[in-house]
Amino acid sequence: MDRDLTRRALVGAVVGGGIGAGFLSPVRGYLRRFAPFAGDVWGAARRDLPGTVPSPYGEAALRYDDYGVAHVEGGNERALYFAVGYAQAADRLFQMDLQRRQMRGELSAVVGDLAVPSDRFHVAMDFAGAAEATWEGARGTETGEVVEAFVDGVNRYVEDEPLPLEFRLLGYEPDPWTGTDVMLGEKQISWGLTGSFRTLRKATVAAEIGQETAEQLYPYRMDHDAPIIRDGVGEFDAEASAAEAPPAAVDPDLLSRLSGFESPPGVGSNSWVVSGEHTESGQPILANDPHLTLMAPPVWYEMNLATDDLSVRGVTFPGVPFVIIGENHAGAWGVTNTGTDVIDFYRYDTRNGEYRYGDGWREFETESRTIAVADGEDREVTVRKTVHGPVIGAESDGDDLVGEVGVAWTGFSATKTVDAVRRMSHSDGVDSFREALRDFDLPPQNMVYADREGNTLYYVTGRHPRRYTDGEPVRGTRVFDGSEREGEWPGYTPYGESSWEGFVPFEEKPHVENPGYIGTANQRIVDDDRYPYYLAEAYGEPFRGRRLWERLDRRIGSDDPVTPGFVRDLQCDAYDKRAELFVPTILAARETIDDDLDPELDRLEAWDYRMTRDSRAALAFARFVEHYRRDVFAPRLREALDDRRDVEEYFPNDWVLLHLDDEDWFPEGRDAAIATAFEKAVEEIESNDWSVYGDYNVTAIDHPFGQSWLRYPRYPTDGSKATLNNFRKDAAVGASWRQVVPVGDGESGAVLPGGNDGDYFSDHYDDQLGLWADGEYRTFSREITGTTAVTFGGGEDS
Amino acid sequence: MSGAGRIDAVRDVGPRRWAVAVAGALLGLVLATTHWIGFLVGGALVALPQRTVPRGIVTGTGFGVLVWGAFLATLALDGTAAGYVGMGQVFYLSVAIPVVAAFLGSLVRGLG
Repeated sequence: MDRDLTRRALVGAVVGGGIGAGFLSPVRGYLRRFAPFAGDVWGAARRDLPGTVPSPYGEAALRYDDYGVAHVEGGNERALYFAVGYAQAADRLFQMDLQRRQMRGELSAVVGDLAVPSDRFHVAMDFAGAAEATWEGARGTETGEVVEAFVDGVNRYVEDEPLPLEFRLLGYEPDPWTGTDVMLGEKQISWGLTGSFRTLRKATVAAEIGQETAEQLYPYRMDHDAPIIRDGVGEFDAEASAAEAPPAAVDPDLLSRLSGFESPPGVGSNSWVVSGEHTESGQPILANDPHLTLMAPPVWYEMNLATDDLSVRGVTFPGVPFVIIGENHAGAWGVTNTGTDVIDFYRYDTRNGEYRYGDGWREFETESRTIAVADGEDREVTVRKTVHGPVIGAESDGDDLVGEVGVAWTGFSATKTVDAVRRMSHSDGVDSFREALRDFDLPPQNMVYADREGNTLYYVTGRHPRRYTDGEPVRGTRVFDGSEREGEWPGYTPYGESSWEGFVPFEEKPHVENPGYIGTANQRIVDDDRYPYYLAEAYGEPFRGRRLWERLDRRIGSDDPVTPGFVRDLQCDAYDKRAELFVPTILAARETIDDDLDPELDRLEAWDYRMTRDSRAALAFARFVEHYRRDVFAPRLREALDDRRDVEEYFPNDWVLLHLDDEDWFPEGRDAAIATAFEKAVEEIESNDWSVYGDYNVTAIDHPFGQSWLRYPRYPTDGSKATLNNFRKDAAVGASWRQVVPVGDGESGAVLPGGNDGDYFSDHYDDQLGLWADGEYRTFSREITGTTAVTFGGGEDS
Repeated sequence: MSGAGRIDAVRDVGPRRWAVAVAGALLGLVLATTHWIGFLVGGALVALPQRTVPRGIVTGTGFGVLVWGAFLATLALDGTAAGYVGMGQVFYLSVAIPVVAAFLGSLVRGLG
């Protein structure tokens, strides 16, 4: 009897305890989310589009093709973009919301303390205020009305359909989408392409080590002969001078805080256009592959859109309605980043909440904002602004370092880029396309274009400030004294409408009408003695640009006309100009390298400099450069800079590294440094059991959540940071979209590094990654195809 | 007849025992589609008619496995089973929840 009682008590306690734990303990959250059938997350595994959706704008249809690309037809433009908004929300809603939260400084509200530094930065910069000013300018315009239809489409999906997996895992619902959020998308990509703190780093090195070293590490121009515009612009005297500036080291706490939020290393792109004069078909061929962060899902969303008056296919950033890179009925276009300078920094004399501006004192425009933090204490941030823009700073510890700076950036103003991009989709040929570019305010891009009539065009987009100090034009290569009104931008109003009157006029931006062929790879746009205005503090390394010109020149100088096949092969070219430059130097140092490594050196000697997955020499070279960079720069920078600084943030680019032969950097001689780095590289290769480049050079494309099951599969691939086939393994940056368009003749090809659908459960989550890794393409046609998923219409106003 | 007497009557007759167990399983399944407690309730209802405690525990736990199988089948019909199986810890957790909850429920067979 007692035994029975004890057993029953025990069983009762176990069962009761289990039930109690399920309802009361942290286990409750897991049960609520992951219990089969009833768990919140499983709704995401059973998302089916509803078949018909009411639309107040008229009829439209959404189809998906074999790669999950959205094909949308609309009875009118607003009906079309309502459906586009719906499709983007169905396929990428979490990505859209995450980007919006990042730019608004609202990440902590869903992910907790981890995101507070990011939120502090984004709130302090008030990107949301800039987006609001931009939306105010667009509202009521024809483009504004189309944007509103898109926003309504997004919200229709959010209101009616099950939320994607990520919302369920984090346990929150998105706020309604707004026109401001669309404009925020423009700010986000623009900041990612132009938000550089190089000026501050260079100023710091100049102050801590010397101006000469700063120039050596961060040269104003790299000495090469492969600019984008090689001739035909003219000879000019440079308008802007580089005024002497007193050295001013920037507080390491400020720089380390900022460095996580600037343009990631390696962001760049390739594009080129070849006119029909040089092609087999007699029609132009255009190619573009922007090198952006590789992530799951991809940064780009592909769509094919049609109305009676419009036919355009290409990619956009999720949350932005219009095709940014693509082709329409009349032509095709692509972009690369110019790297031109549209940001400046200012220091001020301050007192009691005021800053000096010229002869007077002004109060900082201040506003207190609250950052909500999930499972943590909310934070207060004071947003401060001057006439130039927001002020960002670190806690001052009383030293002489620059602890805060005002920031002027063209993106803080109201911009019309979204309108320009919509007009690009509607363009009827080169003239209307060029006209659309007038309002492509930001980001500055090398735009290449070709139309069916055979016209080609290269044009630099974006507003480029002309800076003035005491009425004289100056370069934006230093931290300006804002109190002395140095580096002023006439015509610029942050968080409002700018007149742009003092900026480089549209007609005088670098451009080439009807080039026979032209290639852009983020290199110098034009030699400074051929162009009057200051454009850039620095351009990208010229390795890709030189290779591009080399192959285009060789092909066009030969008897073989350019074909789409040649262009695809060129886009996936893995020849590394760094190797061509430096392998002979490594081999010349052979005597100093351990004899046991002779087989590795023999392979380098026989190598064709192609960073292909089956190459052992490519592996040795890639790892050598990493060790060599660290060995050359880290010791001296660590010694010279404040120990609070991360010296790796101050490493210059590989062009500088591989041209350096200066005893200040090589106390034991360059050959000895080469030998040490080479030996380290081989040791690393052996310890990791790598045998060829493809063992190391593997795709590593992850979801923001970090869970292994959300990651894309790993594939070996070709290419390096310096090859046209661009893949930067260490930073997860590379060709984020490859597009080759024979304009008006032949089949276009394209591929994404992943899949078009951001839904983990979709067949199209990562279905293009294998093609991408192998340098293959799929058909990219403006024909509307696929299976109908949703028909729109029958709404109250239709 | 007392409650205990009724249960004994069910346990003693095979067809009746299984009919009650199946009815309990269906009830548990329906409940589980709206709340995880359904696994526990189903495990208990399936276990209670069994003649011995060990049989009850095995049958009750089996209910958890069966319901998980049904869940997998619905995902397979939706074409998302492969993704589900690849979800790592989430997958293991979702397997464990019905099995452990049904096991806990089945323990009530030990109450008498």
